[in-house]
Amino acid sequence: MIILLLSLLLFLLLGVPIAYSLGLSALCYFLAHEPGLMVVMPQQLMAGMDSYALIALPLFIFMGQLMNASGITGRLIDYCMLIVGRFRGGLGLVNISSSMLFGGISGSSTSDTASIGSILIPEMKRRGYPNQFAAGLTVASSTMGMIIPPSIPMVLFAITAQESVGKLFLGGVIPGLMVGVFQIVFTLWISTKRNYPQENTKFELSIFLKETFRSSYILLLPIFVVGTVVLGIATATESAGLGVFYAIATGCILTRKLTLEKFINALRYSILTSAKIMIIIAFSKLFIWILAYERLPDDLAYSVESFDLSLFWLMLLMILIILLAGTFIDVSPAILLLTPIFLPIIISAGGSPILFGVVLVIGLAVGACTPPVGNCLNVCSAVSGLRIGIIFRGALPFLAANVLTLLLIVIFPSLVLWLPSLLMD
Amino acid sequence: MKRFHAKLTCFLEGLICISFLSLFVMVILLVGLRYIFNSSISGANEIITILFIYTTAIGSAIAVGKRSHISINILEDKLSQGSAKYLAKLQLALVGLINFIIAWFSFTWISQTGDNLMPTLGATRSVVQISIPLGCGLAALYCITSAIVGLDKIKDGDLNPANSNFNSRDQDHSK
Repeated sequence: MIILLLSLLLFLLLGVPIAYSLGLSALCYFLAHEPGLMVVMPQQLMAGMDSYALIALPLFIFMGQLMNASGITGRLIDYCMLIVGRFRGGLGLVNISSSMLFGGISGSSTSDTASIGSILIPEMKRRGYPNQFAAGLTVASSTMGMIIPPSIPMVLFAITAQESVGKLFLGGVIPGLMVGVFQIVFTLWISTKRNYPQENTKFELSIFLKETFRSSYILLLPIFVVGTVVLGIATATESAGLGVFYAIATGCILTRKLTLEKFINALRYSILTSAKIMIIIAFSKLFIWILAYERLPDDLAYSVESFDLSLFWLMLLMILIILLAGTFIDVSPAILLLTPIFLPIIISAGGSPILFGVVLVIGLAVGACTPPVGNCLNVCSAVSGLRIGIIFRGALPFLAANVLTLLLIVIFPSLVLWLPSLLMD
Repeated sequence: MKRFHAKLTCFLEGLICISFLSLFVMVILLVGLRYIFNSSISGANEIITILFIYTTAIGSAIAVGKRSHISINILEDKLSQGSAKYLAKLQLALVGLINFIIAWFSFTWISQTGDNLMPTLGATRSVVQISIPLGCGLAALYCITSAIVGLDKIKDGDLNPANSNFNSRDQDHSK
């Protein structure tokens, strides 16, 4: 077991891709303990990919890419400008509210950071906002992409935990909105204190209604995708497929910005991105097989049970571990590795798998914004030209919104469980 | 070698794009058939899953060739350009090794279980199992071609680690 974990750490530090680090550490384990079981390696790789439900992942990524290629980012930003631009720190508020809406379309934080950041960070700099504030806010607000449905990490958790995708989607709605509202409050407070600019926009109900109608094709997509899953009209995979169909129709008929070149680029990008995630999932399956073979989840469950912690303290302990793990492990492998270990403990303590799934995703979303393994930070650094450390310092006050949300949903689990039980039980 | 690398990538990308589009069309078709004609295609889910597995296996091999897999570059960022180049070679060797070993053991696994039949299609499991040695074999091949292309660059005096760093191109936007 020590060989498995130490070799994994070594390969990760050497910069070997995460997927292959998991495979190489498994190889070290088999060579040291069970050379006769090496044939398990291809078998578990296949088991990791052989799932109809997982096909939702590339389709959701493709849907987000197509919507982005159809020019929705600019439209979303204009729409949000109309609503919140006139307040102090208007562009910061536009950044957050655009991320809230974009999160409902892309299901991905890094995609959100790249799309919104490439437009708003230069604009915020031009209007006199400090670089650190503009980039930090962009990164922190992009975490909503993972929480607000449809969310790719939620699909991954649902498959790993064998839970309902629809319930997880619904469970993420209120916490996702809470993160957004808290970030808006923090931004207003900071902007008033530092006297950040307001935008010269007027709010008129008639213009607002007109713009809402004009943007309705974007706003309807998340409702359509989540609705088809929740109402049982389609499975998550079929819903993602329908979402892709909707995105193609939007780009070709409504915005007329989806050219063949953009379509092919989005297709190539989506396939390669999903392949990179899928190969991590496949190798994680092999790694988890070894953990189960060594009975680590059972041993850990017995150890934790011996402390006799209440569910509340257990969840707080989990949050600490998830935040720490998210700092060092990427979101997909973290979900695959932590779920089989922690979920049985939570269930045996009487906790809800849906609540744990939402806590896990929110915690790992924070991890995506913290160095050294923060993909959102890397993307934002590429977009803004700032160093990762500077962006992280800028993001810290806003990431507090995520931590505050985590604490509140642990204290009041109904914030997560109310909507799924209302609509699906 | 560079030309072979580029042509292989172009061919495989075309292949997986067609495979993915077929998969998408079948998913839409299944929903349409269910709600409009109250009908379905026998074995369609298995065909979709097979296409998906092949797309993933080949796609991850292409990502090895493009050096765009997700990795942690703490050590690499601290090293000088020359040392980083050699670390990149070590990474390639390790990725090539694990892919070669998995491809090797795949044949034992397929010979043991490949004759089992898939429940609906009735085809043997080996049809889908071959995707593993295919993907891993292609990834190992990409490691060899990348190492050769990289060595040529060393001869030319190009020691920029960005040319052989696993995470340097195609920034990952996956989460």
